[in-house]
Amino acid sequence: MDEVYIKRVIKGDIEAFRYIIREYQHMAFTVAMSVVKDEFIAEDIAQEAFIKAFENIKKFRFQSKFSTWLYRIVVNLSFKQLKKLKLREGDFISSGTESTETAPDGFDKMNETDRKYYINEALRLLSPNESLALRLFYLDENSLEEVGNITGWSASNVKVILHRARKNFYAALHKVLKNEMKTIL
Amino acid sequence: MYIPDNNKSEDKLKNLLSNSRLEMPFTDFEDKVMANIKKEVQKEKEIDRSLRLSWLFFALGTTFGLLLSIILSPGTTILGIPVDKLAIPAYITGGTLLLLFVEKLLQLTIEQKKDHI
Repeated sequence: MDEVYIKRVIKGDIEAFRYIIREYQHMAFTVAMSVVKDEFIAEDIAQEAFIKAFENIKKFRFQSKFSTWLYRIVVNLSFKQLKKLKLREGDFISSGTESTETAPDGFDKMNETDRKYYINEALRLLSPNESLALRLFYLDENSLEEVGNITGWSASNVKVILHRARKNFYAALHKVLKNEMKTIL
Repeated sequence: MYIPDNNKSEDKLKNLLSNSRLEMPFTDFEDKVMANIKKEVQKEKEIDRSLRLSWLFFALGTTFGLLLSIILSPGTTILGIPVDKLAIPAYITGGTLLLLFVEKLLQLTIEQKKDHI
């Protein structure tokens, strides 16, 4: 379906680009949020990415998935913006020697809205690389190679980041829920 | 059926992270992007038009200059100076300006075509 609309845009049908925006805006925003952690900045990045994609759409050769090509633009813009934000390693969670890779007790019994909230709060605590890697691999179901193509990381780098990210994600989830319990009590 | 623990934990994580998709919170996002795109397209059309007009006036100017150089007979004078004495400096100045202008126009045209490829 993407191919049909992309070809229409290339032929000059600007309105056909609306399909692309509707199809990919949420994931583009998710990818940007993984890196910059701010909704307004992520929206600006997503906007700029779609405009860049439109301007360069004639260069898209259908050799990879359109999402890979688009998210690559989003990731590049996001990391460019990240340099301006000057976030430090210490701003993000590190599990250290903890090796729990399980969700907190009772997490499965929570309602979907709450689960979604805590999962995204936990991802916010992870470094940009880690939250990005987790979302691209598990949420968007890209292969290791595709994650590498989107991010520019080598295959071994992707594996290392994912390994760290899994551990840190669970640590972050435990932390978020612990803080929530403290607030309630 | 035996499922290795590794696969089970991967499935659990995948299940958890299926909740990590965020929704674009700004409802006017699509319209904002389309408005910006239409502005860019309009700008490109205006640049194209300006380039075409530049080439047209360049062609007209060159033709006019050539005709003038043919029409002015050897006996005529401009501000008291015979035309044949003015010819060489005029050709050198005109030729240099022409080449510089053509170079700039070609550069712009190639840049525009590259953007449209």
